[in-house]
Amino acid sequence: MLNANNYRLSGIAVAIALSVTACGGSKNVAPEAFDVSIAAGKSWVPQQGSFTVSDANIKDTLRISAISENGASVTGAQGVYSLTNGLLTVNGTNFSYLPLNDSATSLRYTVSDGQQTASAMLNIAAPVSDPLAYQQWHLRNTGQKAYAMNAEAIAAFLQAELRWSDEAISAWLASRLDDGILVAGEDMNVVSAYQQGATGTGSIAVVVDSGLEINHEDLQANVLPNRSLNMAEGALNVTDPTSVSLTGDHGTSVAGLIAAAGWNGLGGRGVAPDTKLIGMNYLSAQSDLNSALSHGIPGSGITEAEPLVVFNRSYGISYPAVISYDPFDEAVQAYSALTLRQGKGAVNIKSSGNAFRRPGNIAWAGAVCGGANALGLTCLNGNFEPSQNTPYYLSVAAVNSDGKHTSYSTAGANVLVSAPAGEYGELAPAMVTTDQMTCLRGYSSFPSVEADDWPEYTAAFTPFNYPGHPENPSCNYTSTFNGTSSAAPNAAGVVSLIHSANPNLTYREIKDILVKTSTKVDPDNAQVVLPVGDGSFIAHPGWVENSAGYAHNNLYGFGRVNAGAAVALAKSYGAALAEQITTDWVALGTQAGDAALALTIADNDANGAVQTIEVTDDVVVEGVQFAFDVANAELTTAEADSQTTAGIDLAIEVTSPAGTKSVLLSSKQAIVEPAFDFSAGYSQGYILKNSVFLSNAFYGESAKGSWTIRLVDTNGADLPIDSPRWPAGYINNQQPSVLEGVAIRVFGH
Amino acid sequence: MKTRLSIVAIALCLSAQGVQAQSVKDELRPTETVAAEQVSVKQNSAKYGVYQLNTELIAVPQALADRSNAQRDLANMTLVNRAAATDVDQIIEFRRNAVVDNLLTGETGIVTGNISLLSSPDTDLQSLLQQFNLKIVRSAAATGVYIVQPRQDVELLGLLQQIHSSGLVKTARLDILEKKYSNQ
Repeated sequence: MLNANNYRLSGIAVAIALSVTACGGSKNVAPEAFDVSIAAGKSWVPQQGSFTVSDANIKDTLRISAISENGASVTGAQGVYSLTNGLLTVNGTNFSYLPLNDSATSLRYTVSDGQQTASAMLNIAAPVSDPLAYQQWHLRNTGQKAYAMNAEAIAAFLQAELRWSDEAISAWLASRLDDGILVAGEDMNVVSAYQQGATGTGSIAVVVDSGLEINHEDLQANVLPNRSLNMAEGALNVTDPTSVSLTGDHGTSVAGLIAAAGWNGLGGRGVAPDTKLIGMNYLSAQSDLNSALSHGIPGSGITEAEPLVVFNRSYGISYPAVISYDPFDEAVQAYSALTLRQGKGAVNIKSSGNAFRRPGNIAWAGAVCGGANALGLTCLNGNFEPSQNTPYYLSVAAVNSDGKHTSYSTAGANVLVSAPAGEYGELAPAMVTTDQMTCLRGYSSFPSVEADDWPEYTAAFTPFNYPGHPENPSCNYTSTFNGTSSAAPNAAGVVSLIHSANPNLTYREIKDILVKTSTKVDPDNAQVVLPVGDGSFIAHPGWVENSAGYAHNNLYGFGRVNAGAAVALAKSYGAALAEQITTDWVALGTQAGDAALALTIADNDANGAVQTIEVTDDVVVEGVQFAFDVANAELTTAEADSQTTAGIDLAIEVTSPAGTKSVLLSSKQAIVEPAFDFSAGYSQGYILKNSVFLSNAFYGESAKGSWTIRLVDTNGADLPIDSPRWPAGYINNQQPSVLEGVAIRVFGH
Repeated sequence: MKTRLSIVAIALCLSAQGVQAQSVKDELRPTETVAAEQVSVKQNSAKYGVYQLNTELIAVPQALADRSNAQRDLANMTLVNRAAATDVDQIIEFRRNAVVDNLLTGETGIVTGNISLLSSPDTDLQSLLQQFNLKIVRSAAATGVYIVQPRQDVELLGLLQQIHSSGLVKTARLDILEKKYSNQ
């Protein structure tokens, strides 16, 4: 739509343009073109306008025949001209201009009547923007470094601080700095969503985290006044969850990724810059009561009528054992998904975890990840944490600026989608987002520099975070935020965009859109095949296309979220999904309350133990949960010099009635303690006890039929690794593990 | 629980460092030996799941805490050393504001005094509340979620066992204020 205020044309020129059309006769008169000036629009948001042209021969058809910039002709493709600072789309004598860079544009256009031409200038003012947006590769990846990869400064540091030789420095930099990770176009396609008019308007997102600086200069405009909660009992201001941390507030950085205000000349830009924010500092006061409040139960201040579409939860547990399923937590989650937004439900976005290479920060179990690391398998599995395997949380993994898996993102069949997050902002880009304000607090602050106790390092590797950086003079932003903590809010921002494009969608339909529109990244991602006895086991199958046509990968889910495609589908979303069906658990053995199945899982035998289980409900799958009781008496917490490999060796593969395979447990994963429940303690002697695994891999298939579950012990040798807790390492299990019970539950429609 | 488990578990850390951890710094920094923090845990105190009563501390609101006797803060509560004259029977029980150690995470928690219930589909909740002298703190009845509290200060494990035995609930557990989750 042409904005009259943005479209300034000389009055004289208009008069001429309107008057000359009466001249003519049979003689062809040259068309006329007049200079056009367009006032500032918004960066990444298209502006519409018209070339001011006329022709005395009123029957002549005018067309724009040429575009040139800085004296050079620009070749268009299907009416689209790629200019220095944006894209010009010409349609007849109208145009749309998409400003991609934050500079003014001046071009010469030529109009033709087929025989004669005329030229004039089109001048477009520099768009209103956000000064750091040009480094936010997750929004629009141009191959930027996001303040990382400062080779010269790092080389100087290595020389000055570590006294390395020039040869050593060169070798180190050559091995650690790789421009190949900077791949233009590997982003969330956010600009396309903005082009379609979706910027998050009408959506509310809740940041459930450590805090939220509600007066942050780049968040304040989007924070709903007096709606946030400080959950600490006795807090002085209960609607202000601003953190008092000196070295960074995680929630403030998360909030910026979702909805830092856009086009205000400050900082960067959220994925959904017009979405409103509520903060809850649940992580500062974790209890069941506060957890329930953070899901919007009555008393939280959240009403069922308001357009609260997403909760972001960038937190979790990383522990080298499998936590038993928690029906209470499922019921709490269900409330937000089934009740809020007048029954359409809110989406809960959950970070999948940062335990691909190590089991959290648990030093005594660290070495056990070596086997997984060497093979490219995940050390912990997202399904170890029960909140991630309910029907109601959507787990999000993290990808880099080349579109591939990050070094840390926890994998699992529960992963639904992935989103950008990056590495550490040192040798590869991380996120540029909001940070606690001033240099007195935050990730970019004097206290953080002092806490790291190596200021020279910070200055060389992460200069943006070092107080005094010219683009971060007040230290209100950071360039090192990362983790699935970043992937989740980026996905949450896309959910906000989807909702702003079509507020009538249910939480399941939003999930459906994410599944159907996410981008398949790293398409050649390879299988990992383990030799097992005389056979083999596919521990990581890479991309698996199911019978409904959806491809899933335990690293990426259904791929990286694609805001543009998601908004387009949201706008055209047809018939509503049928009402949700959740089947009863179909259970065998101890899971059914019966005698144990006593199905032996032979040691180091690829045949494993196979159990089929029949689903009679004709349900189109949106997700499938599997519950297991797997025993091995050697896996206990008893004091000993060694621990068994029984948990580490266990692998589980499921095959659907349609023949699609999903690996729930790859083996080599860090299961070094018995299954446990916080309230009930350890289940001594059990690798899995009422342990649930969610697989999204069967999305869209029919659940009806026979499901085949294969459990394999993939190893027959000791793991003589150094462990402070078990100095003798991990000893191959002397007795086979046993499947005692199994169950399946399907949710879908 | 064996001693070794208690000590090593306490030494582990589920803190928020992962998201801002730096991949290269540790590799480049000269090696330093860092002693693992060890916290003593009373071996004979009562247990609930992975929680063990810490008989040396009690939680009080920060505003009321004797700072000279304070050990640490948790949310807006302060953990202070118990007075020597504290009733011995009371300190070995799970009651409101009792302090517990999570043997898995090594974190200290506080018994809030609340009980988290997931009701059975056809449960007469009023009957449950009356039978056990409970009041509702918050609820999401649509999905059967209730946070309840005894009307009087009682020993909570016994009450919890009674509630379980009643058959009126699917699940019931103590609500403990603790640092269970961290940023990831």
